[in-house]
Amino acid sequence: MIDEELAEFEQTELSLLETLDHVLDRGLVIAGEITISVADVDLIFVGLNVMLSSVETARQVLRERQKKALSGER
Amino acid sequence: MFYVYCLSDEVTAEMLDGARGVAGCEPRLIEFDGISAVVSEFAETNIPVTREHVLAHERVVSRVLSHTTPLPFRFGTLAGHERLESYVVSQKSSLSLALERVRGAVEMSVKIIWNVEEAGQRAVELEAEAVAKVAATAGAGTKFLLEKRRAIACDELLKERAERLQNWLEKAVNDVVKEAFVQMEPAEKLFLAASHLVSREKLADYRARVEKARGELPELHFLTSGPWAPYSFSSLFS
Amino acid sequence: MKPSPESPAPAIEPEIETAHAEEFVEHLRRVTDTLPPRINIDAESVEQGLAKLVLTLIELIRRLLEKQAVRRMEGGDLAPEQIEELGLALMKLEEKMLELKEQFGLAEEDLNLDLGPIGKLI
Repeated sequence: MIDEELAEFEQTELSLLETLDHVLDRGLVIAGEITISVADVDLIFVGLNVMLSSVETARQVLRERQKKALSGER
Repeated sequence: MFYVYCLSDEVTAEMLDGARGVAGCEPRLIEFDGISAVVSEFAETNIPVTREHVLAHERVVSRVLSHTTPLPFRFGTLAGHERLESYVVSQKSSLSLALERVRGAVEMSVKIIWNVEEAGQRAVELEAEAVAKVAATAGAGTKFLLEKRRAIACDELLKERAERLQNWLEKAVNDVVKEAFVQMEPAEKLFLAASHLVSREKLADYRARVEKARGELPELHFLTSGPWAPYSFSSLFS
Repeated sequence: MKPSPESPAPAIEPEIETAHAEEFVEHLRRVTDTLPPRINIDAESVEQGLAKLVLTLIELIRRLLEKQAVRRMEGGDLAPEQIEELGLALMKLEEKMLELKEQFGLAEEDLNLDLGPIGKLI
């Protein structure tokens, strides 16, 4: 169950990141101002995090996975 | 203020029927002497990069792409009517050339991650050789240069590997691709990002080639995506 | 990406396929992380911009010097004391560059010039 959720979360985030990779850095530009409001680079992630569904769940899942991985290493 | 999605000389209003754009506003056309801009109303003067806005942008551009190949704008392009008009009118000839360049084609993307271990190993071998030749009492300056030598050798090996990867991919898709734009980061985890401009009629062929390449070298991790509007092939000065 | 319900016409939605989602997510995150911040044209950033340019060129020369020194060392025509002197001098140069970078608040990645189709300078 946890692995499925994680996989879905990853796929959603991957879609978004891959889309961003295409639309943020390339394409036509009307020369002059940059109208994208990115006050601080972190804002992108804030934006992403805010808009991704069930972010807290996903975060929890990630934390649990990390804990598992760390205890596995010992 | 308009949010501007893309330009095209073949787009019609029917193609946008029922589409929903940024901030839920309906996209529409503004024609400027043969080249039309797809726009929608936008109230603010800047636009944050949020998932919703980015997907709305992509949704509208994809919609147009399913009928004809437009020149997509970078995400976040806002302009008033006058500014948009002056842009399209003053760049008319460059834009026409750009439209011709991408006509009937779409952009496909291939990204490859390659965990290159051997380069690190070879560098370790070089270091061992060098250290063996120099007495343990070598000075700080000499050690510094030896370390630089190891680092440079490592870099060069990685660059070589990166070039080989790029050439291999090029050979795999060369004759089904109109144009290619490749970026690479030669590093321990080698990363290559290729954008391919592919004619719609060659698309099936291209996909088959990429699948074949995917299977050939299992140590390469692939990410493929597309079709996209030609974001990487829309620059007006190339 | 699922087709949006309000668009009856068949839109070509870009498909994204990979067997290594986590790896690519990690990499793409880093890429979107390094997007340029809002461009400032106040006095401080103009000065910084200038410092960047000058330091980038110095850095380029410094790296070429290092490469040249290594080549000469490998060439075998330098006495051990000469190699040591050369190494120490370049070491000091590297330290100096680090100091300067710190002074101007520039990171390693900042010192580079994108020459467009020709690629990056360093």
